[in-house]
Amino acid sequence: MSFTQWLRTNSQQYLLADAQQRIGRKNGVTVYGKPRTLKDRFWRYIFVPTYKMLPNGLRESLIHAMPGSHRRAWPKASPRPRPPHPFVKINGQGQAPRK
Amino acid sequence: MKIVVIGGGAAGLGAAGAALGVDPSAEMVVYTQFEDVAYSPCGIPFVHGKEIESFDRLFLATKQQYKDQGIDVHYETTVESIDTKRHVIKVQGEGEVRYDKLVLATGWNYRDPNLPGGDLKGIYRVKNIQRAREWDSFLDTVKSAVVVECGLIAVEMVTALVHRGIKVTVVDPGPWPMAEVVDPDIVDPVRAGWAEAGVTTLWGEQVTAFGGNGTLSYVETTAGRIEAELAIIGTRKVPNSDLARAAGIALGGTGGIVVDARMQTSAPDVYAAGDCTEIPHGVSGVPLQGLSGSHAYAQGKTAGINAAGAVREYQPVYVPWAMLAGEWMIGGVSFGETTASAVGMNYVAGTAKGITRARYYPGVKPITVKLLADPDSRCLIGAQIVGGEGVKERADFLAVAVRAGITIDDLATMENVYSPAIGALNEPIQMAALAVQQNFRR
Ligand SMILES: Cc1cc2nc3c(=O)[nH]c(=O)nc-3n(C[C@H](O)[C@H](O)[C@H](O)COP(=O)(O)OP(=O)(O)OC[C@H]3O[C@@H](n4cnc5c(N)ncnc54)[C@H](O)[C@@H]3O)c2cc1C
Repeated sequence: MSFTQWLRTNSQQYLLADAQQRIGRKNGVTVYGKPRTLKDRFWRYIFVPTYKMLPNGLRESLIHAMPGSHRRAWPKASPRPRPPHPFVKINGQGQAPRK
Repeated sequence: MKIVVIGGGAAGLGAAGAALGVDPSAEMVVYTQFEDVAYSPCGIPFVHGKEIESFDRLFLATKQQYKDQGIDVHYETTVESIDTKRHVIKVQGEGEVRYDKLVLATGWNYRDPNLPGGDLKGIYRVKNIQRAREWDSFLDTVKSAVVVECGLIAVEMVTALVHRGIKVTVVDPGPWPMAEVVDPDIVDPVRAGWAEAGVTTLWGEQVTAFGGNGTLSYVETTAGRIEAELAIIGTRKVPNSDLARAAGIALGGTGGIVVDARMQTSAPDVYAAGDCTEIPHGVSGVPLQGLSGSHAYAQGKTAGINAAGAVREYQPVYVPWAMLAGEWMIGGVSFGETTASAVGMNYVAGTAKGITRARYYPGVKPITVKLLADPDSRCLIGAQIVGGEGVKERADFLAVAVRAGITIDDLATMENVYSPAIGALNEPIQMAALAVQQNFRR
């Protein structure tokens, strides 16, 4: 297994486990799974909090820097949000729907 | 021109057919390790569950039809290696075979749980239709089964086994079924349905070994021993990319083959498609692997068209999915709350409970829709749905909405069909969008 594969597999597993715990708790689901091994502890107590502390931009750059299909040529996503329709003025309860 | 395709699944056959559509004079050779091509593996759980009476119904075309189309399929034939410099593959029993263009469509395997006793009889990985035929008669003798991890295919198998009157125990280190893709509130009706049907579930537990004398008779877990004659492997899909790796073709962090929008790999004249590849997610850009048969088929067609000399681009994916889970239909698009939280994506969510037909119309079913929007742009970034019907159509529609950059305000003011027998006055998607708007104001 290459370094990037190792990183992806573990980060995905532990970030997901952390999110499941939070979203589970919010929905009244008890989530078991205390860290059992030293490896569990490293990923749960060091990697996950560090990842969450990183600013969004830095996190995205790090993910983008990893080798993978996202680094090859792909059609660009549609602009977000879409440009407003020229004929329709929507007033979502006093808020401009698109910033 | 000689086009060689390695793989006879949705991606491989999609590639072969589409390439011949572009260049009918191309010499087209497909290699598969299986006895058949062009059957729908997706139907296997439903034959096991006896909703479909025969495996024969799952075949889409006969071997002769492929021959007549000009596709030369080599069955039960393994490609052993690829020399991308010499444009040659080495085929078991055939030696070296030259290609002008090569399409890799080698698919996926269940992640190997790597457990003691893994070679006992009675451990079933649902995939190949001929093996499924054999297992089907075995199922008649089974009283008790363990499902080892509960991915999407495993969920369908739980339903099938219940229909066969088999006692089922699900053992999964995750906290709920399909916890890698679905939120707990959305899967809750499925869990309740399983409990009612007598399915035992052990969440947060792991299978540690298989036991028996040549044949499985029990499964050891972190919660104790379970007597069972059958174990269904339901672990996550991993790419079958060993052939590509050995040939020096670039793989990504998922282990899938790296491709661009034309499905070109890092090697000249080599394309790849289906579950052996990784494809960027449309919202996050993070590459994903192990999508679905419909993705594999569409990617195969893209690879085939490009290999044959025309141009087609595949798009980043938003992954609409939907399936039957017990008495419920469940599905989603792009992110749920769990997956959005996992990647650290900010979102505002809103959920609405609605109905699928007019409240007085026979057969009306409940449906729950949850939408997630990006707090800055207010664009839809994901959805999760569970209901008695109408889940697939909503998932497909919402996938287009995410892809097009539709905002939650567009959805809150959407028009909808009201017709008592097929749709309620209040569209649950619109109601969920209103709930998101409300949560934005909090
Ligand atoms: C039980 C089940 C239910 C499913 N349900 C659904 C569903 O409801 N909806 C949906 O969209 N999809 C479904 N799928 C599809 C599935 O999840 C995959 O997405 C799909 O099979 C991917 O197709 P593929 O062509 O990429 O790979 P595969 O189907 O894995 O095909 C790979 C092919 O490559 C061949 N191969 C591999 N290595 C070699 C080699 N060295 N030499 C020669 N040949 C080789 C294999 O023999 C095979 O023909 C289901 C699959 C199963 C098994």
